[in-house]
Amino acid sequence: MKKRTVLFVDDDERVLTSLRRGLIDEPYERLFANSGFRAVGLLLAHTVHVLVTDLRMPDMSGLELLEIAAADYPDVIPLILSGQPTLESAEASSIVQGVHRGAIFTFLAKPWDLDGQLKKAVRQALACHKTCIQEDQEPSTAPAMHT
Amino acid sequence: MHDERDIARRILVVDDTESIHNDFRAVLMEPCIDTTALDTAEAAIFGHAASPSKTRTRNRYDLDCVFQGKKALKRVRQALCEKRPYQLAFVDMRMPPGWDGLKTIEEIWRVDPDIQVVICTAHSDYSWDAIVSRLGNSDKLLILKKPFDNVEVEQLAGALTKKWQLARAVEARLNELEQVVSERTQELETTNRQLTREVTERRTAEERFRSFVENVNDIIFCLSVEGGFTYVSPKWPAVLGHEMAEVLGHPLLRFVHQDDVGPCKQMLQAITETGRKEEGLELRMLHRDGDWRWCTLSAAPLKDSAGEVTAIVGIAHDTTRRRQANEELQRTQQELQQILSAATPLCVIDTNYDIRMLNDTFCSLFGLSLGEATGKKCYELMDFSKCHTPQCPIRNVMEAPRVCQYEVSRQNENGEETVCLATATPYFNMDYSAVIGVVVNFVDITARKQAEKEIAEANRKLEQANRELKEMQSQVVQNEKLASIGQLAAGVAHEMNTPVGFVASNFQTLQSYMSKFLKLFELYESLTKAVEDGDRDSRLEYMHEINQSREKMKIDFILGDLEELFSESKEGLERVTDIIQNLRDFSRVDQSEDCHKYDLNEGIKTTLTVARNELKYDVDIDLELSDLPQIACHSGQINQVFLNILVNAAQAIKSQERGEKGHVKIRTHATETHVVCEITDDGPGIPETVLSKVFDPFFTTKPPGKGTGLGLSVSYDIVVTKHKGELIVDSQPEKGTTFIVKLPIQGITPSKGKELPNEEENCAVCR
Repeated sequence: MKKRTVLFVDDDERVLTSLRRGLIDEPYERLFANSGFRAVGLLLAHTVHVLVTDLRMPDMSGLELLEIAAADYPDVIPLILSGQPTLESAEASSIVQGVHRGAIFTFLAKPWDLDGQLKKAVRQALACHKTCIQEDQEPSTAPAMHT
Repeated sequence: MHDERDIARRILVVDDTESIHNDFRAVLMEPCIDTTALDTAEAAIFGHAASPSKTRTRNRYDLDCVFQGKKALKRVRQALCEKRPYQLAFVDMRMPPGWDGLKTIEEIWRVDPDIQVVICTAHSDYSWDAIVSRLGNSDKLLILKKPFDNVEVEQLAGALTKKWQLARAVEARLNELEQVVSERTQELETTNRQLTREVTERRTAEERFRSFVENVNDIIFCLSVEGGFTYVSPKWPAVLGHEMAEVLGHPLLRFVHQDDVGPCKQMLQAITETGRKEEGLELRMLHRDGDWRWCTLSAAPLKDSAGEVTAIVGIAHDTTRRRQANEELQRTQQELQQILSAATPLCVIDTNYDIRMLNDTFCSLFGLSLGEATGKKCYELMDFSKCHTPQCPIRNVMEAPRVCQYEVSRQNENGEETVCLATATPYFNMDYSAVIGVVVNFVDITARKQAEKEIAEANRKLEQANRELKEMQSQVVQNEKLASIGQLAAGVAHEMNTPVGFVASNFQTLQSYMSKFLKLFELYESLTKAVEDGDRDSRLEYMHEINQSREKMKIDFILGDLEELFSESKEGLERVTDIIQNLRDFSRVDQSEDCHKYDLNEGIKTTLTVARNELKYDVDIDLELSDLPQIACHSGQINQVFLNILVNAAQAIKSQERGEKGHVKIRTHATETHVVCEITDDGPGIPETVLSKVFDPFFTTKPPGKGTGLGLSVSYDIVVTKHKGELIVDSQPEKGTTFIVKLPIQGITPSKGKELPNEEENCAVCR
């Protein structure tokens, strides 16, 4: 059985810890990165099925990260978790296009609804992953902790 | 004579003797005897042919006889009264007892001196001398000596009565002559008096005429038929300058201008030939100084009794001055006419509203011919709305002589309207005691009116456009405000969404934690019950279940996480609270319109907090804050200025895509009068060509949608206009930009409250 792994990226540690504790019972491996740079490293080191990233981050923005992921790991299903209520036009158009193309699975707004939205969205995204569809395996019970 | 021959010859006889009476009667009253001898004698005496008459009788006498002298006197008187006087008296010398003859004669002659007397005496009582001395040497007295002869008596009677009659006739003739002479004399005297009067009158008249002739200002002259002067009045020297001697005897034509000689000659000739006067010849006469004087010449003939013209009298009136005056007048009139023609349209109206004068331009302005216009009333010509109303300006000007300006309009047949500005000026009589008319001057202002109308229309449109522009600008400003608020809100929202996000997430997690605890709690309850029941198996079972659940539910992790969960959540809430507080500080929403104490350093910190999200990914901020005095200002506005500058700096740096954060240095310090904040970035700088425009409204270098171009212009307005401070920009391309904000420590006067926001907008737009 292959572990299913979700990578969460946000420059705010508090967001990551709250997700970590909120998702302890979720049936997938959880990886957490506090910058785009680290996320790229984790992507290289782990097989990541779903990528949940913030947009505005120093050094490497969410979009840059998504571009890299899309280029190097086309199987990764990307989600956006952003607190930005309005998107600047350039970003907005590429994101909206991405969502429409299916390149971005969904857009989650901060503040998020943990149980009602986020958990469901991540599970749906995992269910959509082609490997998950192929290998209909039981969810892992042991969480993997990466910081 | 023949008549007197029939008059009775009365004879009075005075004698105291009756017989004497009878003798006289006998002699004098006898029938006629042949008197041929007497007739012949008579013819010889009286000088006319005797007319012998054989039938002639003796003279019959009317004889009265009295005895006394007194009686005789009585008879004489009576006869005189009866107009039948006695022609002859025979008086006796002695007539006792009464008067004697002499006495009687004396008395009778006293009454009737014409009576012829014959004294009859017998002796010479008195000598002739004595008688003469008594009675005078009279030819009426004869002496008859007694005794007298009858013939003698008769002859005496005849002769003397004849003599009396002749004397009487002579006397009558004399009287008649005297009468005639007297009448004639009287006539002569009357005539004489009349003549004298006439002479006097003539003399007076002559004097008068002479005075007139000599004193009249004209030259009066007399010409001989040959045309030479025989007389000139003394005015000649005064008028023409010559001495009299230079004139008299010389011909008139010598003094006449060559061109006028012909007419003058004709005139004189006409007078001589027709014998009628000629008047009013205008000619030039030579002045002694060589000038020519204009004269009007009139002349008339003088004729002798036969009607032949013997001389010509004339008068020359010097008209040079009149002519000059006339010429002057004509020149003036001509000038006036020229000036009038050149002047703006004008007309002169008298007090009867008659148009007295007008010029060509007036006619063309009103489309009239001169003929149509002259002699009309002003209201016939210019039928303006004010005519015949109390607003009639002509009337007003005449009543209160002031210059009055008004507009008049008139439509021609084509319906084209002419609008004029009329100026009515009163004009006065010579002594300015009364207005005698009004001069009305017109200026065609149709074009001006039209232009004014067009300008007004253009102005209206401009104002409309301006209003619209203002509205648009205010809308743009509003948009900018909204945009910056939106931008700010976006940043702020992001800042808040994150903590709210993880706090909410934590809260949900806490809920799941709680449900896990409750489950565990239930297991512990069951365990407690099993302990009380002393059921060992079930006790162990519960113990196992508890341990399993504890592990399954990751209770140990949860217990270890709880403190962190709370502290992190608390931090999240604090972050939200902080942001809200800073947002309030920044915008001073609660009292943003008021001026209040402000610490620049705090303002900068607040602004940085608010802008953190905008800045933190692009720039690092270095703060170098000195202690500053507080100033009075609109803190919200000043913070907005800082925000604008910082956001601009961050955007500029970001636009460089340099791959690393830029640096912004914020320094504050105070001078004696100002607090100063310098914000320096190491961004791309501002090109020199653009530097002068950065404060212009709507100027932006950002791509469309990224900026309104109002940020710095609004900032400038806030600092310079509202706070009397300075906003200075200094930039070096490729090195960076420094904005310096200087605010007076003294601050600004307290605001006027509610008006400020509007003002802010307007000022921002108008800059």
